[in-house]
Parts: sequence; structure tokens; C-alpha cells
Amino acid sequence: MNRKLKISIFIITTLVLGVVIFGKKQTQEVINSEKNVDTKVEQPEVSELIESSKVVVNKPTINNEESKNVDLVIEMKDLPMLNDINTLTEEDLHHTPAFVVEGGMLVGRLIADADKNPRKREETLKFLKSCAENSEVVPAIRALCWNKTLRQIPEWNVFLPVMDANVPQNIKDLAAKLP
Amino acid sequence: MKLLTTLALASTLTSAFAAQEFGGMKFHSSVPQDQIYSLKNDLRYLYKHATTKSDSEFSKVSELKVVDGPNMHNWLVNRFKYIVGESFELSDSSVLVKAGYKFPSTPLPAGFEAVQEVKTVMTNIGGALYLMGKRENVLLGINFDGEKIFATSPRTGLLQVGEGLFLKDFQVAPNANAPANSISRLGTLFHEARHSDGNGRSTGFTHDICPELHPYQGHAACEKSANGSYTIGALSQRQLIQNCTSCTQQEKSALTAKVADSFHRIINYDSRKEDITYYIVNFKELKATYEKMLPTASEENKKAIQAELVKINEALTILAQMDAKLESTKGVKPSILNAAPEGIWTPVSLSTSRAQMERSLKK
Repeated sequence: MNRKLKISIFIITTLVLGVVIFGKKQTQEVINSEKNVDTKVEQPEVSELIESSKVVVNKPTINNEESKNVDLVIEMKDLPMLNDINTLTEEDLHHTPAFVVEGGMLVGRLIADADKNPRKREETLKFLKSCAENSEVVPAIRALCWNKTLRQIPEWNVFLPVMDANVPQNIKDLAAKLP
Repeated sequence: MKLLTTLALASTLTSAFAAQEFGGMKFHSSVPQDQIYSLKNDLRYLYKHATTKSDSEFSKVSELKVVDGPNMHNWLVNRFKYIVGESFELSDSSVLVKAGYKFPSTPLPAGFEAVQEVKTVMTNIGGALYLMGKRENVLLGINFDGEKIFATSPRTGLLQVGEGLFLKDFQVAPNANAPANSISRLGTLFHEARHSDGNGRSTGFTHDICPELHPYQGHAACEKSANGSYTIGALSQRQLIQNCTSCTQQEKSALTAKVADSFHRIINYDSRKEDITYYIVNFKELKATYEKMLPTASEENKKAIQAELVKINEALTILAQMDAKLESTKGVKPSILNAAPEGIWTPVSLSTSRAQMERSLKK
């Protein structure tokens, strides 16, 4: 076998092996990702409600770590407030600010928790209604709160007067557009 | 023997480069591998997700007659094909310039004449290069890993993705590649893709300054049109949320907050018909729920429920009157801008984008 042929075979073999190894790594990444697709995180236990502007939940699970049974009081001020927008730049505002996304997650956690604990439902609904009425909360979250209030009343079969709720028309209109 | 060696070398080299192309889109070497992986996942989710509910408003604004994964993917592919990373800079060394190109003789978007620099907020680089070139009367382009791409239309489809798209702060689920996070990123991609549309004054669907009393007042973070980027971003996310079977309550709430935020940036939006219908349906449901409660309620609660039912009935009467009078109701509606793109570009058919995606999925 001449020298040139030997070199060619060596180069081809190296390249082929490189592609095979790279391909396997990508396949493994896909498999790993598919294993982690299930996002149904177990909701932690909820302790006693304090007052209508607060709902007590356990510290949320982050990064798939086990949740610690530490009570965390969610107050109205934990929701995104209009004052928080003053510090944001135009680049921050081009898309939805992170703190608005977090506010949505908080509302979701409250509802998920009350889903599991029926005795929390009435107070959760009161909190959501208060959120929708609060002019200091950012409009997107107020609309989310109002949307969820109207949805959860029939789902939970709980009575809560809403017809006289102090929710302005533009918030109600925004809530109507939400899924 | 020489021919066989050359062919073998060529095929291995080709397969190595092909790894950075997926579903009709090409990823520049400046995009980090983990971001490429997430974006491929997002496109895969978009293409393959089962559509059981079709959002009619999304269908109307996107002009998609059929709303399903392959069609939504095709809509994106027709608006961006090249993705560069955050570290890619538009500089004298990376931007190509060609003189003597004849642009369409249509006006630039209002206010664009005065723009001094392309800010990073406009991450649809293709649209920005096209408009800057049109204003300066030179054809601009970039060197995309050896491929010369000139912005002959906003549909050139060159997008810059930033680290912000993947930051944990913006994630709605712990796993970066969970469906809910794909939906979150896809909403942003649809938003940016809309900037590839338009002609004349509507080219690039540029944003408007948020008015006084708006939370974002003074910032170019709003829009006056009924089919702009914030609208399409919100509607595409709403479409995907409604069809997400694995999203948790928490994830859906976070995604819905994004939808609400986007809708709130549309100035003077007045879709009274949808709002009226929404409240008629909801109040009827409340009424049915409370009527079922009455027989077994305590005396005290009965009074409260009955008082609430009176108010619900009054509200339903008013809503019915509003519904009947809707045609004559005066409302300020944002305009639908012409989304047809100007310039020279090559459309991608559904069969082509499907074939591209199917090939990528097999790898």
C-alpha cells in the first residue's frame, strides 16, 4: 500500500469517527431532553391563610431541587407593580419584562395550590379579585387575575360577588382576550 | 481510487456543516451550541404539536388559512432563514456594501429618516439592513459564514438571537427545553418574524411610542396597527397555549401574563364584539353556578347570591343590547397595515418547508 493511500485512509477514518461520535452526542442530548420534558412539578403543601391580601404558600421549587417546607407569604406587593417599571430600559421593555412573567407564575402557583386544597379556594379567589382591583399592579397581571377569577368561580363552585368589582373596563377588555 | 477518496472526504465534510441547519433555517457560528439546541427543540415542538383548537384571530392576522404545526413553521421560515448570535456585530468588517442597487420607490416608515443607529432592540437584522440600505441608497448585506446575504427585502430573514431569549429569568418552567419554554420563545420568534413584513410606510412593522398614561409611556414599545409584531406575538402564543396539553397551571399563567402584556401594547384596541361575547358567556356560567347553589345555601348566603343574580341579569340585559347595537357603535380601531413585503425575495412553499423539516427530524 503506498504512503499517499495510507494517509488518505487515515484522514477518512478520523473524519468518519468524528461524525459518528458527534452524531451520538446529539442523539444522547435529544434523549436527555425528552426525559426532562415532563414539567408537572409537584406542588408543595400550603399552610394557613393570613388575610385577604396575602396567601401563604411554600417556597416554589426551582431547578428541580426538592422543595423545602418553608412557608412563604405572598402579598400584593410581591406582584409586579407599576413603580417597578421606572427602572427598566427600552431594551428591557421591547419584550415582556421578567418580573411580569414571574408575576404570572405566582398567580399560577396560587391557583394550582388551591386546586389541591379546596379550603384555600375562597381566599385565593378574594386575593385574585383584589389583585384585579389594585391600580398599582401592572395591567397585564390585573387582567390575568380578573380572567382567572371569572374562570375559577364555576370551576371551584365557590361564591364570590364580582359584579361590583372595582375593575376598570380596559382591564376587563384585556382579560377577555386571554386564553 | 483518487475519486473515491475525494467523494468520501466531501460527504463527511458536508454532513459536518449540515448539522447547523435545521428545518429550513441556518445557524451562524456565533450562535452558542446550547442555544442552537433549544431553538431546534422549539421548531420541532412548533412543527409537531397537535392543533385541536384553531384561534380564528390568529388565522386572520397571520393570513394562514390552515393553522397547524407545519403551516405555522412555514410562516416562520418565510420570514427568517438565517440566525446569528449575540456576539455577531454589524461592523465595517462584517457588513457588505453594494452600490448601484435599485430599491422600490416606496416611502420609508415614518420617522425612519432620522434614525442614526440600529439599536439592538431591533433584532430582526434583515429588516434593519434593508431599511438602512434603502435610506442610504446602497445594498447592505453580511457575510454569513462564507455565504453572502444581501438585504434585498425585509424578508431576507436575518435574525439575531440574544442571551436574553434563554435567560432563566424569562423561563416559565425549570427545564429550559420544556414545551412551555418553547412556547415562550416561539412567541418572541413570531414577534420578530413580523418585522420581516410590510412595504412602504409599513416596512418592518416598526414600533410606536407608547402614549401618556401607558405604563411604558415614552418608549418605542407599543403599536398602533392591528396586525403588528405585538399582536402576532400575542396571538401565536395564545394559539400555542390553547393547544398545550403538558403545560401546568403555573406555566400557562406565566405565558398568559406575556400574552396580556403584548395585547396591552396595542393602542386603542377595540374588539367590542369579542369582549361582549366573552362576558355574555362568562356571566351566563356564573348565573348557572349560583342558581345551582341556591337550594342548599344558608339563609345568609341565599340573600347574597340572590342579590348577585339580580346584578348578573342586569348586566346580561345590557350586554345583549350592546351586542344588538354593535354595528352602529363608534369605536376607534387600529388599522390593519399591508403586510405584503416589498423588494426581491424567494418564498418557501409549504411542501418545501415540510421536506426541510422532515429531513432535519430524521437526522
